[in-house]
Amino acid sequence: MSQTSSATAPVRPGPAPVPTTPAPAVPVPLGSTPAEVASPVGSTPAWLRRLRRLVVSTGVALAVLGTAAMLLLTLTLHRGANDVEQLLRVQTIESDLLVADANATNSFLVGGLESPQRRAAYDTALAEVADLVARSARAQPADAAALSALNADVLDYAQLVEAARANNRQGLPVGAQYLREASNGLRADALPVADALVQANVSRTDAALTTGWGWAVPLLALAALVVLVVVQVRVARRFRRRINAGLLTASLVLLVLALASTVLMTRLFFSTELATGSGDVAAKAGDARIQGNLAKSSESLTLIARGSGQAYEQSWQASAAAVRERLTTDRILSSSVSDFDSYAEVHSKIRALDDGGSWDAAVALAVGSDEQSSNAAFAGFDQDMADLASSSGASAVQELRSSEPGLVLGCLLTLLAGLATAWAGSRGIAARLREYR
Amino acid sequence: MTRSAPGPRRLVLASVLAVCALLTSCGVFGSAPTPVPSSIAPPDSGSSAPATPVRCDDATTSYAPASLSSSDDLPAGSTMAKIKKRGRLIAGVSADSFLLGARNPLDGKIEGFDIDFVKAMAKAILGDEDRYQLVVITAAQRIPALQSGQVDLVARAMTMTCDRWKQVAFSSEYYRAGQKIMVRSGSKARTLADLAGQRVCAPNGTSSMDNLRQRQPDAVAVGSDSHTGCLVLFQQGKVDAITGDDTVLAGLAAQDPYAEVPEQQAFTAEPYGLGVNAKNVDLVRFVNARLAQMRADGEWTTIYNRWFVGPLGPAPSPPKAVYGRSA
Repeated sequence: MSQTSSATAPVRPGPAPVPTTPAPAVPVPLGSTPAEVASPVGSTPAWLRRLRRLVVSTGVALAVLGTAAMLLLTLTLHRGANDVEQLLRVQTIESDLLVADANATNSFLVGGLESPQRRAAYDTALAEVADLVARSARAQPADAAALSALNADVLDYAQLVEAARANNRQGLPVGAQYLREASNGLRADALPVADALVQANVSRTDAALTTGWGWAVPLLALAALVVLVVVQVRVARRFRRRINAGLLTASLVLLVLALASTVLMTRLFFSTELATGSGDVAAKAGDARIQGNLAKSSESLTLIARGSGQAYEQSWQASAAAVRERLTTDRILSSSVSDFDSYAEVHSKIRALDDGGSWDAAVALAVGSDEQSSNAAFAGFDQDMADLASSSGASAVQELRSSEPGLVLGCLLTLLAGLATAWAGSRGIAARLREYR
Repeated sequence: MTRSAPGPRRLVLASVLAVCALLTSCGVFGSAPTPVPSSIAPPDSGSSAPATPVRCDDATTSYAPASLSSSDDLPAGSTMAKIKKRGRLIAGVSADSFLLGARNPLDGKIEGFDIDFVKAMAKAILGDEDRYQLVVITAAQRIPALQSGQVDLVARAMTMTCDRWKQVAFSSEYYRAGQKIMVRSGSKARTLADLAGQRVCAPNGTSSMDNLRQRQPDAVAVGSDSHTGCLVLFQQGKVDAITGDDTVLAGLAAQDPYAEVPEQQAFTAEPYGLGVNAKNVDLVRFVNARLAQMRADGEWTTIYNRWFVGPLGPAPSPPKAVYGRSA
């Protein structure tokens, strides 16, 4: 195409020029005859038709690819919001399991007659687990297999805790063994599944919270604009008319699309970054809460093991280090470090009492609900983390959902802009073609 | 040239194909399923080879007792004086062997036959039977706890054997138990010989487990961390029988009306001794003096009757102490 147009355009303006010299019938052949000379009249409309095809193809391609990219972005971010919600759900499942276990082990320390508050907290946590498992399985089918495995483990756990209770109430030591089996089973079977669920949803969220696809729209618009400008220049040169209304309209549509989509994408980029940040805070708070409750339940198990709970104390230390790591690496969360520290202080007192031979005093500090107790100190931290996780998660989801109407509109406008380009460009070239009728 | 220029139809087709490929690759139509971690397999309980029994005839022979000094007049520099200075006797016990050493869920206190001996020793050393600290240990932790100095004394149904004498010291025998079997009520099994092919539970690291493997190799030995752990497996139908000392089995049977210890001859003799660090021979001599006193003044019989008169009948005469080991 380039060969034809570049060779002919300057030499052959619209109205055919009169040859200046009386040419002989046979021109002096300098080589082979150029193509346009061989068929001088039919070449321009064919060339115009080719250009029209190019312009229409460009517009349609923009409509299809741009809309697809926009749609992809819309779907990806929609999924991203769902993934954040699912991540919050599975994290809550894991921390609820640990809340239940912390309450079960703590009330066991008191003896056969457990406190109604601890029992209620255990029941509430397990009821929430059951509800969340059902809702999570519906929301993310990819999690269904893991959730069903988790469900089986939770049933085992609850069944063992009930057996522990029944035996405990009759004063039979086998109750303690049932409780140990329950806690060990929870740690060995259920928690790895819950961890896998959290991990899978963290990576899904990371993968989904991206605006990558959307940047294709401004790029495609710019590429189409370049094509239209080149076409217009060629047409203008051949026909000695500077402006072709149709092609100009099409170019303007593309320019507007390129600018508007760049602005939209930039805004979306920042809003997605914001959502990612909030989602990150939510994930870290959720994780800190999980590790905190793991520590709390280890504290009770250390006391239950009564002198040979070194393994559980090590587990407490590991969990506490994990909590601090989550809290200190985030600006928003770092304000809760003092809450955790005040709990950790009570924990050290408990350890000092137990290691010093005052098991009864240590237990009193661990199971009470008054201000000085471990339960009270921990409750503040736990509530903080739960609130932070749910509020940050909600604002991430809100941020993502709020851009959805704009994205749907963007899809439609991209489609319309592509089709408009094709239509206006085609009309513009058709105007030139009419001159050959 | 027209042929080489991409027509709209071809462009559309290519775009559609590209979009489809992208959609599937970025997972808009579905995510890869979350991997389900397989649960960690329980440690193979049958891997450790049964210990070769060391034949000897002085497993119950302990060090001759010292003269029993009062708690105010302990020999300077002795182990007892160190314990007195600390203010409490630290003993490794079981918290889940009903009747021997078990936590009473109603008041949270650990109580039982073994614990009463800890109390007696606390009274002898510190002058107060409540000045003791209990460290709950598993059967397998008994020897390491003594060797590391974590506890002064182990009172946890510990059988005196020649093997163990190489690692720790024992007091004189304070109880003679014997190993028996416990089965589900209605079972036809009466002795260990009847348990071929059945799943039988015993705690890991105990002489009960060694005896089970040696005397009934046809049974499927299942390990647990304690006898109460065996009871949980028994109640869950994961094992058919439990083997252990008659005292321990009495405690298990008392917690489960569907468990039965059939009338049978004990197939081993299990002399219980209080475990002490091998270096603290002075403590062993002191404990032996106190045990001798308890045998003589009827305190031993009182303790026995407090725990075992129901399930095992009235107290026999206390086992005779054998001395003569040289330090």
